[in-house]
Amino acid sequence: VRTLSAAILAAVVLSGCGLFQAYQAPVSTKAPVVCEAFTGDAASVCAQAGDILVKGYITVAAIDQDIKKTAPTGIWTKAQAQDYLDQAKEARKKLDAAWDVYATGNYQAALDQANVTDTLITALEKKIAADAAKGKTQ
Amino acid sequence: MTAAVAVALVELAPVIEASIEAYKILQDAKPILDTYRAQAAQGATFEQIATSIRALTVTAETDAQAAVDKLPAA
Repeated sequence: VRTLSAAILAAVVLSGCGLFQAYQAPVSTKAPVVCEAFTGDAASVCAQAGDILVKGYITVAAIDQDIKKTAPTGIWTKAQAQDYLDQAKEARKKLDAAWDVYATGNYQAALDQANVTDTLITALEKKIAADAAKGKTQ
Repeated sequence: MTAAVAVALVELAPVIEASIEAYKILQDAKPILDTYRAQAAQGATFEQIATSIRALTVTAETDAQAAVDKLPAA
């Protein structure tokens, strides 16, 4: 049982790790123009904030696309699907708010907000995935 | 298959299913990431990419809402 469990968990973890690596690399190899005025840590925070924001938007778009694909399969009620979508919209609004902070030049605050939002998006992603899996087995 | 293995598989099934589903969502994100990385490699600036990604999010949200609207009310 232990060997079987270890093999399954290893497969899940390894598949996750590969994707996580894809997420770690910046989306754009070029730093935002606004970050060129900075050096050292300030430049790093500026570039990191921009990258986390765009990755947040990409993940929200992927969740939206998943809802679009999954909804017609009938595993969720209309209320459930709308609830997930509302949460995705809320996450997008939080990203918009962080983006506005970024645009004002407060990169550390934007990075902090983006990181918090990213955590919420990841939690939503896992919730949708778990409920979709549960729906398929019922 | 022993009873212990069967029980372990039953207990693990929801975890595996959820992991696979989460992986599928992340897999949905990967082509989007790849598209924008390719644009960056071809010279697109961060600002151009960010504008495009934000527009994509709005489109994806509208499409998802349309799919949810088509579901029958309970």
